[in-house]
Amino acid sequence: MFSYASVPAPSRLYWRAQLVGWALYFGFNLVLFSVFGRFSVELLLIVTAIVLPVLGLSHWLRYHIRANGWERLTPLPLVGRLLVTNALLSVLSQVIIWALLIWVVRPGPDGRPHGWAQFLGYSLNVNFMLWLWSGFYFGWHFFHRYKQAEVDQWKLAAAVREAEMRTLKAQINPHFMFNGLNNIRALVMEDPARTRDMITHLSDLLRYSIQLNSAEQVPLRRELEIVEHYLQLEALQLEERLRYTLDVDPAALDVSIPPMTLQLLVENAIKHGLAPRPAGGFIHLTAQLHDAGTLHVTVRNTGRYEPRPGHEGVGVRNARERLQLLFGAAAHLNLGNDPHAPDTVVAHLQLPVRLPTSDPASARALAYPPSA
Amino acid sequence: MNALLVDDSRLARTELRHLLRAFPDVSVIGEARHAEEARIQLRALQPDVLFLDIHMPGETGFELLASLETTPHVIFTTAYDEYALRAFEVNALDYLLKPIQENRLAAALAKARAKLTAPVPALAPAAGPEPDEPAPTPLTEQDQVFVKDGERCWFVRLADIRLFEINGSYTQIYFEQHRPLIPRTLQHLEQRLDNRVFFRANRQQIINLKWVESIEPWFSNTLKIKLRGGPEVEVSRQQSVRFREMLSL
Repeated sequence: MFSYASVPAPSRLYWRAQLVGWALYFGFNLVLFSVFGRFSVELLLIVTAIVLPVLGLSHWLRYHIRANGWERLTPLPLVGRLLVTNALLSVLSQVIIWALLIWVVRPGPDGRPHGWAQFLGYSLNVNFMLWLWSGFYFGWHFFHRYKQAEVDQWKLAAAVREAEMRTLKAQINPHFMFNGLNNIRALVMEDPARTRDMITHLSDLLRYSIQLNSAEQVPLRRELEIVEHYLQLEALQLEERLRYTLDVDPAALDVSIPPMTLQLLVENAIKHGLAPRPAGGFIHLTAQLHDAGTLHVTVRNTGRYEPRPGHEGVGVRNARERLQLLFGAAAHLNLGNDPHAPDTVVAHLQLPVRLPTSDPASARALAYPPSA
Repeated sequence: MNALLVDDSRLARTELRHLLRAFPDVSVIGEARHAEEARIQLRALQPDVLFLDIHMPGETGFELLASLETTPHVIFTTAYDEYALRAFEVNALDYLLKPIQENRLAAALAKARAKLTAPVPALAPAAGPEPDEPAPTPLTEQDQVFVKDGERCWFVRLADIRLFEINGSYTQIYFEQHRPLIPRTLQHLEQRLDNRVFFRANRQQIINLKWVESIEPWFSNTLKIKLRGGPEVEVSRQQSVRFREMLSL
C-alpha cells in the first residue's frame, strides 16, 4: 500500500532536532531520577534504555507519516490518526523498555520496573513526548510550506510581469514605425492619395497593437488585415525589393488565432530574409484548413535560417509560449530552411480550430466590426 | 559643400534632398542605395559630407566607414538606434533621427561647415586632394579615419595619431589613451601617408613628427625618439641617417 523506501532521507536539520530534543529528554530524566533516587552508572544505563527506544520509535513515526502522506492531511483526520498511532507507540515503547530493563540492564531492586500502574504512567509520559514531537514536526512542516507558497506566489507574479513586458516589446518595432513615418513624409510630395492610404494602414496597425491583449484571440481575417497593412508600409521602404502574395482558404478566415502571430512571422521574413539583401526577395503566405480540425499557415520567404545557438529570437519564443498556453501540445510553430527550394526559409504554424469566440467583450476590445 | 546621400529607402533620400533644398550652400552630388554603391560614388565624387544610414542591406554604415581609407565628414541618419550610436565617443559624431527636424539638420550642417573651413596648419599641404590628379594623393594630417574597436567607435584625425605600430596584418594606432587596431598593413599606410609628417622609424613603427618631444643619440649612430604621451621609439640605423638628412635641410 505504501512504501517506506520511497520516503526521502531526512535532512540534517531533522537529525539535529532529533538529537538535541532527545538529549534534553535524556538529561531531564537523569536529573529527575537523581533527585528522587541516587546518581549511579546503573541509572545512566536505565535512562539510555528508556530514551533510545523512544528515539527509534519517533524516527519510525517520521517514515510512517511521510509514507502515508500525513503532512498533506487537514488537521482533524491528522489528529485522529496521531491519537491511535501515538497510543500504540507509547504502549509498544514500554514493552520494549521493560524487556530491555528486565533482560538486558538487570538493575538492582530500586531500578526494576514494578506494577501496572507504573507501566501506565510511563506510557502516558511517552505519549506526551510523542505529541510534543508531532507538534514540532508538523509545526515546522506547515511553516516551511507556508514560506514556499509565498515564494511560489512571487515567482508566478514575476513570470506574468515578464510575459507582459515581452508582449509590449514585441508589438511594433520602433525602427519600422519611424522609417514608415519618414517615408510617408516624403510620399506626401509624390502621391498624396497613396499617402492617405498609408496613414490609414499605420493607424490601424498602431490601434491593433495598442489594444492587443496577449490572452485574447482574433479571427484570422483580422490578423491578415494587419499583415496587409504591415506589408504595404514595408513596401514603401523596400519598394521593388519586396514581392509578396497572400493565399488564404476562405473557410479558414474565421479561425481564431493569437494576435500578432502572423505579423511576427512576416516581420521576421522581412527583417532577416529580405531586408539584408540588396536585391530583396519574396514572401508567400498560405493558410488552409486541413480536415476541418487544424489550421495550417505557411510563410515562405527568401533567406537562410541560421539561428545562433541558444539565441532564438524573443519574438518566436514568446509566440511559442503563447501557443503553448492557449492550445497545449496541439499547436506547433516550426522554422527552417526549405529542403526543396534553395535559399528559402519556411515558417509553419499549426493550430487546432476553435470557432471564433462569441464573447462580445473581446470583439469590442479590438474595435473589430464583425461583418468586416 | 558637396553631399552624398546613402540610404536604402528611395523615399528617405527624396525626403533628405527636399530638406537640403533649404540650404543653398549644400549641393547633393549623388545618392547610393547601399555600401557597395556608396564606395564607388565616394571614390568618384569625393564629397565633403556624407549622409549615412546605419541599417542597410549588405554592409552596415559602420562597415562601410571601416573599409574606407579616409572618411569625409559623416552625418548619420537613422530611424531609431540608440545602441549603435552609443558606441561613439562623445562629440565624435553628428546624427539625425528620421523623420529629420529642420533645426537639427541646420545645426549638423553648421558643424560640418565649421570643420570644413577650419584653418589648415602651416606644415600641411596647401589644399585638400586635387580632384584631377591621376595618382591617389597622400593622406594629409587633416584626413580622418573611422576606427571601430569592439563596441567603441571613433573618427580620428591623422594629426592626432602619434604612432602606428605593426600588429600582425593589422596596425595598432596610438591616440589619446586609446590603442585600437585598424585593418591595414603598415606597408600600405607608409605609401599613403604624407612622408613630411609621418616618418618610418623602423620596421615596426611609423611616427608622427608633430608629436616628437625629444631626440637622443643612441648606440651605433642610431637615434632614440621620445613621443609626447609616450612611448619611446628606437630609429633603425638606416632610417637614422635619413632622419638626420631631413633635419639638416
